[in-house]
Amino acid sequence: MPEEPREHTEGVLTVVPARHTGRWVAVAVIIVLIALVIQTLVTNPRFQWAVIGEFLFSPPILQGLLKTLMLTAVTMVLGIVIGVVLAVARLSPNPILSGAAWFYSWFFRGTPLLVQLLFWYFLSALFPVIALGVPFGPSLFEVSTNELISPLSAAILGLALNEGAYMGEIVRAGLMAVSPGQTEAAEAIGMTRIQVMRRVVLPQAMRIIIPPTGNETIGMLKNTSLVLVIGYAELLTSASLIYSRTFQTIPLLIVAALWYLFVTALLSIAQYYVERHYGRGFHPAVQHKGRKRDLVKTPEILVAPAEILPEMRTH
Amino acid sequence: MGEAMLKAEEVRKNFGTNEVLKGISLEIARGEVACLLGPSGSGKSTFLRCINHLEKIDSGQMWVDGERVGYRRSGSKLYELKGRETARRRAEIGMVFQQFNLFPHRTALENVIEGPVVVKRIRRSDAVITGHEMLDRVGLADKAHHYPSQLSGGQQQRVAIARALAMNPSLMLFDEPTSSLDPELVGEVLDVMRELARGGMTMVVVTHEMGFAREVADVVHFMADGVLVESGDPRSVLSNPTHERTKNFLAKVLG
Repeated sequence: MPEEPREHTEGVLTVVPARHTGRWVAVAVIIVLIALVIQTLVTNPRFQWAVIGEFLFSPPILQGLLKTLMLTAVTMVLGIVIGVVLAVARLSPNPILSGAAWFYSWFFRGTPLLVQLLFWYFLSALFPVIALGVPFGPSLFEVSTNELISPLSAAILGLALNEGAYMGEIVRAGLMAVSPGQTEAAEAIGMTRIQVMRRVVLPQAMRIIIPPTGNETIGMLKNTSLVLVIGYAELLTSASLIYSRTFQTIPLLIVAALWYLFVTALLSIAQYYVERHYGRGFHPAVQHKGRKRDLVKTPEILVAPAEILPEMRTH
Repeated sequence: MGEAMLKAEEVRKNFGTNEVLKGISLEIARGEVACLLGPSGSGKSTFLRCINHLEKIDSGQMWVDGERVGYRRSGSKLYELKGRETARRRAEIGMVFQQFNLFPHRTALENVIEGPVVVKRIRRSDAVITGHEMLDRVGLADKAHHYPSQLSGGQQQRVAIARALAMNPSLMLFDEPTSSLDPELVGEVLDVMRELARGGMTMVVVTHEMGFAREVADVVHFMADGVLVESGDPRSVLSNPTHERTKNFLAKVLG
């Protein structure tokens, strides 16, 4: 193509955007794939949409869903608490504490979750009675293991203790990502170790901790289905109880899957807002507002001249 | 302890096998502005960090405002202080860092009132009023609700000074406060420090700003290789150094 003549630069020039041929190809491929999926969803009678509709809001499924949500919430809260304790212990200068924390995460990450769940459920086979007392001495308190261990308590124990090990690593990564200068600055104004952790280090570590914790929560939502093996009637167990009776396996698995997907969507939205909260101060482009009660309190003292300096001094 | 705000006797500090402080003895009087000068690696920042016990000294003794740093003496024994007691003493000493170390998740005002509210347990509404005063002192009254990421380096360092002043300290430590600032922002921070010195604050300043040392310091201490080489009036030390080390250093710095 010849060089464009100079005289063409006078007057208004039109900009022609670049053509994205690849995008159009991708769109075409995706449309075809979506059409195929819709076709099979609509025409394949074995999906049994009527059955799915019948069970989607049925009481046993909704009760199962409620138990799944409860189990997820309880085990994640416990897991996060265990995780924070583990991370702080692991990073502490006390070698016994950090060693114990290391052992915990090695042990609980090193055995399959399914094994751990079964282990807690069948704990009475190992310890028929759980007693609290002096080692080799008298016991102060005794309870039969079978009274303590139900499908629910075994599920909570298994899932929470396992989750704690993973959360410990996540929290530790978050704590280590906060610059040591932050701790020094906080210590220099006289904060104790606990205040430094609570007011300065943890809030900043949260930025790092939140995204993988969202991941863990979504993972936990689905991992709760493993308690099927110990018979706690959460969502998947409830679905399986129905299909083992009616043999409508696929539609009931779809019912469960639809609920898992729906809750995952809700959790992702929640994660977005939590991330935004802990991201304050880190995006210079966004104009942040301080606390409202501080904003109204801009006092007249602002006109005070620099001459007040001597009086401000310590005694 | 007499009038001394800070007294150090034969202070030694090792990092592993590396001896960073080889027996530093000095006194800083109340209301005095002392500049610690010397080449990097001379131990001046380490010495400063020993004053508020961010670093633990390995031998020697140190007193701030008559109180022994890091230990409590009872008879012939020195008991190492627990975290809470160390924290209480640190609250009396303000510190300003080379990297500012403002809390990025808090606004300028929130940074300033953090110590008064959390450490001194002053009512938040009262702390906010004092906080605004402190920000005004460093010329940042209009930046109270800005986050550190929205401020220039010089402004951040001035907020850091306000944060230290809000604790009403009896001694201020400055660890190379202008070393990570763009050249055109150094002046505004030095102005605030000059004003503070004029107000009678006791200050220990680790710096490479020879102009500031000459103009503001009452005493300069020149350190090299963990040893206090010479001390004295800034005009005499900076203009007529007696030691070879000081002469070499000044020749390099002043060009």
